[in-house]
Amino acid sequence: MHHVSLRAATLRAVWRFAFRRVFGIVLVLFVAVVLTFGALQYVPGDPILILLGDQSGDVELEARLRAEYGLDRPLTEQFVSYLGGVLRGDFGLSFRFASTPVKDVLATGLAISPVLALVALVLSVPLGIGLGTFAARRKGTLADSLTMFVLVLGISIPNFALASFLVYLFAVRVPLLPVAGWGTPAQAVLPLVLLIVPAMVYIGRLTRTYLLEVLQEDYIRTARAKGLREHLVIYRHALRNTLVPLSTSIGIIFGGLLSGTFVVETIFNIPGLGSLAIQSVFARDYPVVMAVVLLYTLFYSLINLGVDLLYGVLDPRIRLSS
Amino acid sequence: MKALLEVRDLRVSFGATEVLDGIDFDVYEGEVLAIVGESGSGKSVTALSMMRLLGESAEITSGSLRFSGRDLLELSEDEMRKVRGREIAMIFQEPMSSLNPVYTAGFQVAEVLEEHFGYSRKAALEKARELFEMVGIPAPEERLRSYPHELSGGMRQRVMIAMAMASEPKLLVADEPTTALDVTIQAQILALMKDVRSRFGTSVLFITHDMGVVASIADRMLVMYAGQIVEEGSVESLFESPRHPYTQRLLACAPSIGERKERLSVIEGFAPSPDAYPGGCRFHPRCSEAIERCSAEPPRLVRGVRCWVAEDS
Repeated sequence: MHHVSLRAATLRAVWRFAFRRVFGIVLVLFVAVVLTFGALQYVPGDPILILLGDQSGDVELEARLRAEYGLDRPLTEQFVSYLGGVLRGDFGLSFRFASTPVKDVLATGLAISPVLALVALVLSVPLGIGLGTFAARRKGTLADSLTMFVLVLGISIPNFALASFLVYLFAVRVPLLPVAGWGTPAQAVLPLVLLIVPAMVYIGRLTRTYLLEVLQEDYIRTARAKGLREHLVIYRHALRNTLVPLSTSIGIIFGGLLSGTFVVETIFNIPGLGSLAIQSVFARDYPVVMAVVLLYTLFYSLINLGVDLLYGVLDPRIRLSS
Repeated sequence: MKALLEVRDLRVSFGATEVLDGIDFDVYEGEVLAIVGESGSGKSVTALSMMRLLGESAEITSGSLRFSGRDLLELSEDEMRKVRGREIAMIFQEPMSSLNPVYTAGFQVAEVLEEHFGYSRKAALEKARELFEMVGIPAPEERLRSYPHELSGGMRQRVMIAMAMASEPKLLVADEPTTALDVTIQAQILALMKDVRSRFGTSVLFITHDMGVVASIADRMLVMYAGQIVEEGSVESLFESPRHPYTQRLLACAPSIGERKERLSVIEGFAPSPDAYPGGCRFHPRCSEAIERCSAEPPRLVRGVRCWVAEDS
């Protein structure tokens, strides 16, 4: 009886939590729409004039374009129609590619950047945790110092410098991999390495710190007093508890990887969301820039939500209280 | 009586500082031996030494721990691991932090059976349920699935006892298992430990600073001061006629019911720190009966007492 009501209460709590969070995300996105739309009104340059180029004398064409882009209507009307479009996944028309819907411009990049970030995350998390655990178990030894040295090195070298070095080494000196471009698996190797190294290094250092802390806990002494084999003490009892604080950092790292693709895509000339955003900024293709900003806002909100849900899965103490 | 564990000349150091100065004692089969002393006297270090679980900073520098025919200090780490939790089990002072917060109580007990006896998860959980019942956990079926934070301190200590008794060990080392609990819960846990001990015939090494607890559970006791045993004997004889001035003071400190004192008795001064033990008898600066010899020459443990004055009388 008591059990059943507890279950029902839990379920209600979960629904309340989900509703609150989804409402929060919608609110954040609305604010992002207001801000990006507002910012657009203050940027210099008339996009229609840019679009017209040398046909700028053609008044009739100008009027037709203004109507097509909805720029002839009052600001509030433009905003309402933009907001309505966003809700339907329609971000309007691109300025740079005349009469092309923004969502078509985004399609290629959307299939690349989030996937690149996700693959980098999936690879760097186990690698980082593995390295951190390796170092923590050998605390104070040469192996630990060496691992930490490599990890510090990995964090200290800037991304673009490492990129030049890797390209020189593996594409020029020993031509194993292509210098740039996108489409073949070989072309994904260097960009992924560049994304993975800093993420892995960061996770590795955190894992070592958290694990050394957890290993001092009383329940680790209990696990040893039970006569558990050392790998069970480390992986089952200690590492499992580091996952709780680690999941926050992993969320942040995922966010970092998503924006990290901006640099990597530019270096390797990959047609992802990052290069698209940068080109669109230079081409004053504001509808595309706005769409990218909104997409990233959505990504970050979802990552945050994901981390919070993960907390509940990883730590039974959080399950009920949230 | 047969000795289950024979500790001889056990010495433990933290770096250059010796915290256990050649401890000798036996634990007999089926008995409860209490180790009594103030914080810092070396009683917890003694307990952890039995499990070889002192941690990185401390080291057993010499001595032997003969346990059912072999020296625990001679065992490899893997052989020692098979002794832990199987032949010697341990329960700790802090029931709040001694259980892993992310696993259920049932799983943490079942683990012992899986590790040492190759139980399947299902069989181990079934045995865990029986153990929960034995240690008086109400609604054991549901408590198996409870996480530590859902249990009270007393319940958690019962889970720890169930975990320790899962493999029916020959020796149970209990490091102040009741200190962190409410008085009423303390009494319940003590009663449970007595029950468990008589049911399995397990020997218990019981570490405490509480004379009341000693009186209620122990057969014999060792009194430790500054890394040494200063007196040993049966609980009855030591309570009746303590010979070492320190034991006398300790017993005088414990207030008892039916006795109203104007002032509670205290031992003046502080227990010395291991890096600054006084010469001669380590207790002499705090001792009201000290004679000249006490500051000059360290007494040895003779006929159960380490004291020049008591030895002469």
